[in-house]
Amino acid sequence: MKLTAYLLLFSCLIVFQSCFEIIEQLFLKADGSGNFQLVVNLSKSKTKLNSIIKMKTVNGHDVPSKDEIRSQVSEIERTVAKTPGISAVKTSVDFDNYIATINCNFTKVTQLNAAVKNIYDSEKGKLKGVEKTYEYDATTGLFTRLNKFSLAEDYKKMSNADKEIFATANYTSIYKFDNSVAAASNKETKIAPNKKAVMLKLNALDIITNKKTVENKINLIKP
Amino acid sequence: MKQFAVALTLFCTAASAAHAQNYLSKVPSKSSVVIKYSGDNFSKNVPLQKIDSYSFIKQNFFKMLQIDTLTSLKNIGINFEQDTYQYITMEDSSLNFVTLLHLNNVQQFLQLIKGAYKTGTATKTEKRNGFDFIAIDATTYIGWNEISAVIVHTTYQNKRNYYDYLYSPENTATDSAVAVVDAAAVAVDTAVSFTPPKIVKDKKPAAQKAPVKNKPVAKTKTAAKKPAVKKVQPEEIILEAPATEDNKYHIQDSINNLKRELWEQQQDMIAKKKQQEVAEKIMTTAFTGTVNSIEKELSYTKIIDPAAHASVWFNAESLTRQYWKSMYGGLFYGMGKKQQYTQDTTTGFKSSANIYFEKNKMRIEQKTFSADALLANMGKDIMNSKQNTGLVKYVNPDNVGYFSMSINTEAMANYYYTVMKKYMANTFYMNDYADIVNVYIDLVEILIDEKGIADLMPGNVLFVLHDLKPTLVNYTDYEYDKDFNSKQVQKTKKELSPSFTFIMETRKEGFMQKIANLPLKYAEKEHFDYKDKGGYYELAFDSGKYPIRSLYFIVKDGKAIVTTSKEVVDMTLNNTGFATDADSKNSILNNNYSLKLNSKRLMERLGTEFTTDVNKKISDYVMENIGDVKMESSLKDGIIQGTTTMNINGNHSNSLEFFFNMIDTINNIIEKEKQEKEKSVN
Repeated sequence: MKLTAYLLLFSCLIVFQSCFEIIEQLFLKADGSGNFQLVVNLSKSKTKLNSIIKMKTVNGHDVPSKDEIRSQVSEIERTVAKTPGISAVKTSVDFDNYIATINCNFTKVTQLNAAVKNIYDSEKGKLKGVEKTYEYDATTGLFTRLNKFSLAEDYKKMSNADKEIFATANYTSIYKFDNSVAAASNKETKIAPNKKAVMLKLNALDIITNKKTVENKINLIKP
Repeated sequence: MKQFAVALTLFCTAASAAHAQNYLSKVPSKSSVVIKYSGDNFSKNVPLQKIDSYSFIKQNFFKMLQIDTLTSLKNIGINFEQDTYQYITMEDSSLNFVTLLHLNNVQQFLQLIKGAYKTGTATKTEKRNGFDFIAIDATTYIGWNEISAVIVHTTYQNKRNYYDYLYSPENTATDSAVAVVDAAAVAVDTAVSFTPPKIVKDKKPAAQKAPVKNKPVAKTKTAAKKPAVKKVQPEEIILEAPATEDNKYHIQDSINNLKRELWEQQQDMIAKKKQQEVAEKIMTTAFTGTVNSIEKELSYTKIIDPAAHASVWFNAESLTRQYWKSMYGGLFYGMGKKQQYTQDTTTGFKSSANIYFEKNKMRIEQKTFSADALLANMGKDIMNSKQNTGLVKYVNPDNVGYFSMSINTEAMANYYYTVMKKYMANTFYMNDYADIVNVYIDLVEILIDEKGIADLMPGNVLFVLHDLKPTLVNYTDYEYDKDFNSKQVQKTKKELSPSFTFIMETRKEGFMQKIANLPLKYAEKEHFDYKDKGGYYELAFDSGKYPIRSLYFIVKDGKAIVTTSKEVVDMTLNNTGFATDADSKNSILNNNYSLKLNSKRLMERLGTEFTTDVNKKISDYVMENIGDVKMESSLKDGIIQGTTTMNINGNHSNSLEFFFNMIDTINNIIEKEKQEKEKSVN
């Protein structure tokens, strides 16, 4: 559960009306291989983070040091790199702007699922439903973003100070394809004019409280 | 059910008054906190009809009390026109919070507490000598007669930790015999024991059954009235798999879990029994007995004003002990050290706050007093100090707020030696070595140069929050083109930057100068920007990285100053100052403590940080209705006395009504927002 704890602690660094953004970017080639990038951008709260990172605790949570965060990110990088079919894994943590990224290539989206599961397993995660995040059926041209786990119960148990963190947080997903997009099931999805990309921008709180979902079924036109 | 008790207690105390029987005579002298609500004043300031009309009262308190919204508070049986008292005591190892209420209609009061039955947690009403009694839950009890009611919320403090028990020498439990009896408490707590679980090994697996019931719950009833032994029969554990090494581990784990759970259940039962005993004892004394009351204690009468609308009295020393007891009580119990409550009602400082809800302001008169001549003199010595006139000029007239303190640090150091000796002599474990501790503290006193400390920091300090100004800070964001290709961009946003000054008087200017000079040598090596600017030092921060651009340090004319304001630096170098207003000047120079807060200015500045409509509406309301806050404190008539006032604006009959109005308005704003959100979602 260390990973979840670290993510929470990192989030907890932002207090009162601060905001952060999680950006999930995936490029899927027609053969099912592609590139994945996850960005956690806390830059908008950096003045507060510059102060809080010097503290030992905030909102009752321990504040990890820069070295601890770096070490944790490196561990994630090692775990992802060990997953068969995943290559060119790169991570970075920019403490000037408080932006963390992880980038990798994959030959099948199922390998991304395995990588996510490996991270949770290595951290002894207890979250259910992380086994399957993406699905791609090349024969039907259907790309699916799944979300089988919920943070609603954990959110309910949080203190008000912790809840405040998510009030202005955002989640953005951008999926790009070799093939053109015919339709997307999630009503909030924007399809690029060139039909090669979709974007979904949601408030993190709406996702946590299950008012909105990141789930999406994207139908691609076969060439 | 706790909600009911809490709501009832709050209600009764939020609106009560003073005639007939004086309940102060029922408040024990050994109380650590005593709160009084003057019903006469309360009911005049905010009549019950007015309280009935507040929507937050109906939505929240009425709901918790399970009263329908048509019922008036006048008809719940409680006499709000008489004084209500609350007090905290430690009795028979239980921490008790007691509320004493006057009743005017016992049938209506019974109707009110009937809500407790609905949840099924309350037991039946029982007759006691001179009063009726009901256990609302394990920690809350109500007793009443025709004219009064007593609510006791109590928690037993000697509940033991299982692992302390497990590893203590007294533990003789084995795997086969789970005879868990609280040996230390056996003399008084023999009412509870249990039968160990029956472990059936190597039973053939049954297709439909779960393999192992790891945590069987022994269903128990609450502790009995009479001290008869109760048997707790846990469910049978069925172990179905063959006894491999792995299974053996799981079996042992299940047994250990069961033993712990049963042991904890037993501790809960012991606690419940003790709590009920204490509650009944308190009620019996209140209804029929004689209480050694705080009413005639000098330390109470000297600092409590009977005419105050509400008052709080507390014994700081007892409170500290109770805190330590509640935090570490079990530990000391495990060590064989029983809590010692030497109820000393004469020594130590006792403090009070007398609260007055006046037309345009709320006024709190604080008093601190010790009946012990030595301590009282020490208090006088600490307060024997005058603020340095040179500090006053740093208070700018349009500031957000300031805090000034002037105390005699030499006297303060001497006071600490006495307090430390007294504290150590009364602390568990350490009290056995009080003589050694006493010598150590004397040695520290010899080694420490109190005069030197007083020269370095004579005790005159001032903090001024000049302003909160918006400043631009940069951050990185992502923008997307029409094909959703992302690009990192630099943006700026406004954040509040505090402009403040902290000044400390010093008679060791040379030493302070050395400290201010010290970082110069390490600035380059440690990569921070600290420079000697000729007469002052500047610590500069990276532009856009922090809301503060620079911190300035200056030591001049017996003052060590840390400030964010270049204006203050220049003013100090040029021996000039702000045109401080006369009221602030007098307050600072004539008091040991002086504080002022310009609430409107503060809310105006903070308002720029509020992003949501709800927060903006709330801040607008607060800004329009809250006036300035002022606090002063000094030594008068041998007592440390202070006055805090909070002015109110807007259309309110008095400051008590203002609080009700404010809560109601904020509640309405939030509720309206919720309804609008729900509408938009639907």
